[in-house]
Amino acid sequence: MLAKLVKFVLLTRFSKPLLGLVTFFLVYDVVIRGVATGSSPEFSGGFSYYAVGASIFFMAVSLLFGGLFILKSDRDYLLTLPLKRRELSLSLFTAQFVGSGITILFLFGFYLAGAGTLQTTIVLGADLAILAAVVTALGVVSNILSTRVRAGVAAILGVWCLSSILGNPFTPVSPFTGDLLYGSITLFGFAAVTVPVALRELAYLELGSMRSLLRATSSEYKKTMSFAGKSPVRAIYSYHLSFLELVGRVNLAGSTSYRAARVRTSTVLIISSALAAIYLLLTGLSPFADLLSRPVVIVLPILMGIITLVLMSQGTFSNERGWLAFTAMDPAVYLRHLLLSRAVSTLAITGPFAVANIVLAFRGVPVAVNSSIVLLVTVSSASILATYLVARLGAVQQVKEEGMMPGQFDLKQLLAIIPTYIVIILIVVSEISLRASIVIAGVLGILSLLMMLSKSVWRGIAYRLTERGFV
Amino acid sequence: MASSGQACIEAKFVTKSYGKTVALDDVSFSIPCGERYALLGPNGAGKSTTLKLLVGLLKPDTGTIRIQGYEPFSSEAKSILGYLPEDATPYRTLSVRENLEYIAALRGVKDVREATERFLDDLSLREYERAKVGKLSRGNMQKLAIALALIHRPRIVLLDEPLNYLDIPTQERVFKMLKSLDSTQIVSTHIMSIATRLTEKVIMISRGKIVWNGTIDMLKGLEQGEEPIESVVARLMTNAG
Ligand SMILES: Nc1ncnc2c1ncn2[C@@H]1O[C@H](COP(=O)(O)OP(=O)(O)OP(=O)(O)O)[C@@H](O)[C@H]1O
Ligand SMILES: [Mg+2]
Repeated sequence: MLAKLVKFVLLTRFSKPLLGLVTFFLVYDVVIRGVATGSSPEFSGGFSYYAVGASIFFMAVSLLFGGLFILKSDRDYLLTLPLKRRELSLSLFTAQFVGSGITILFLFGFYLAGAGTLQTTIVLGADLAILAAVVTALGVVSNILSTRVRAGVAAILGVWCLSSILGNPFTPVSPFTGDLLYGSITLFGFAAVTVPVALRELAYLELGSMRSLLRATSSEYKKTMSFAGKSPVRAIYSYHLSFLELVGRVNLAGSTSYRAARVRTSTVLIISSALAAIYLLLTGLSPFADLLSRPVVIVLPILMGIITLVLMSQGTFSNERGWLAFTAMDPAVYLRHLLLSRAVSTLAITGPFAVANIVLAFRGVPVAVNSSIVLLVTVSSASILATYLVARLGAVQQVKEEGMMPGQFDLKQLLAIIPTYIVIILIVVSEISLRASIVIAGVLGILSLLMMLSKSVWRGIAYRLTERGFV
Repeated sequence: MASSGQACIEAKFVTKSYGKTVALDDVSFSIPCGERYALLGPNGAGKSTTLKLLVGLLKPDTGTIRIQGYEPFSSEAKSILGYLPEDATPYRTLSVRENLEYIAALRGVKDVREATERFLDDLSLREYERAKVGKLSRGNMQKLAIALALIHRPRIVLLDEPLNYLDIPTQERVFKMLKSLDSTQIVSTHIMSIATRLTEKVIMISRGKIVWNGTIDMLKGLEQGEEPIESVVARLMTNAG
């Protein structure tokens, strides 16, 4: 029965080719890298900073935004069936685990290549799996915590994990900085606490999380916009410069929440300025500045790149309404201004950090120059190109109902990760060489401008979205 | 004003496929200005596809479509067309009023305020004007969608299942509103009473082909004995299928 239920829950969420591909990657990672005895372990420098930073990011996002991998049909059918609670929760957890796991595998999988011996590869592989379980569990647990507690726990977790860079072996991410034994034990211990809590929560879904998912949060806006007296183009800018729209699956973050919400751009700017100030203190003025500045300055643009890319490529079209916008004006003109305004508004997130980096550069951290070029130009341009690519590949879904997955995860949507991959590589290259960072920023900037000027490109996208069932 | 007699909507030899599925197969029809047509057909017949083609959201694979002589995706056509898709959802992260004002602004409506106020009253949406659309009941969302489709006083109106989800008093209000519009209309529906009350003529499609074309009165003339009009329609659709 349990096996059947797991199978059912998985197949309603993931298409078979996707599951096949994931299995292939898992086997490939373990076998090929185990067989190819290669270089010594890469436990310091770029790779480990990246792994630590990305793990913190995954855990924090999962904890902060939560999210359940629940389909509309689950609410209507699955949860009403007389199923054994334990089996149900285990199946739902597995599905969510696969969801987080896919992402982690794709972003971290290559990390195993540097593991060296077969033994370390296996341990690291297991660590990645446990990390996926932790990320999954945090996403579920998030639903029963208040916003304040979430933020507090996320901050503590972040600082704890960051201390691994300073050599603390007892953190969940210490395996990535070389403390394979203690790190793995700590990670396992952390999972042993969070996973059971999540499982219990999932068992009584309709009593707890589900209710909070469907619970009416405030149903009215306090601050509203007015578009009276504005030209079409001004209306687009006034909308998207005032509010940052968070829509769709927070897929790349490993958490799988479906929400459509808006945040005032000014609020975002204030929060990110505060964070940028902390960042500046840590990397420029604190006693650990010497130790921290390089890794943090290198990892930051990568995380910012992922956030911006997800925001743009997943969020732009999933809340778009072709029947309104594309019938009101030329889709090419509409999309051009939509993308530009959204790209500008994401500068509210990255801008303050770019400024902080310029300050750091003057204080003698040379790599900060590369970082600010990446934040200001590369990331914005890349996010426009990625938005195009993801729509072109048909890897976006329209969000029509809150809290639910619009449909199955399939191979196509996985392709949405590819642009992110490419951009991460470009960012890493940019950080190695100043000249490369200027060339990359210039090329991406010009490409994205040219692309936005082409009308046929965006008209094509509009037709394509409609053909894929966007309304 | 659109003079009657001249064709406002013209489709010639239109074919449209989604991958291997042929949704419309060599369809031609012409709708004179000022006339109201019901678009009938079984599930999957190609009704929604037809409307998306007319409004320029899709491009035909072959054949041509003209809206008062213009290409459907031209700005001239956009300004005279009003379209309501089936299961329409407005922008979820905007309030009811913001949706109305935003779309009115995008369409270049002269007096955005006036248009907004009018629809807030006409469809009794005023009590929800600040409400997040994502939190509205399905029926209220449909009312807003109807308002958004009509906010620029379109001369040609294309509606896909417009009365879905609406309560009976609202249905009556929408009937009156659509009747009072001086416009060319195509209404796709499965409910014959909607067709008979809103329209005078019928285009019936099945499996992507037009199978019957005529007036509602002609349709009534085909009734055998006490037979309801639904039976006539069902017979026409299945015989053709
Ligand atoms: N986005 C799409 N992708 C693939 N096939 C589609 C798409 N939209 C429609 N189809 C197919 O095209 C055909 C016509 O569909 P359409 O939605 O136009 O029918 P309809 O007459 O509106 O049906 P209903 O009465 O159920 O609304 C169907 O076979 C349908 O499966
Ligand atoms: Mg339809």
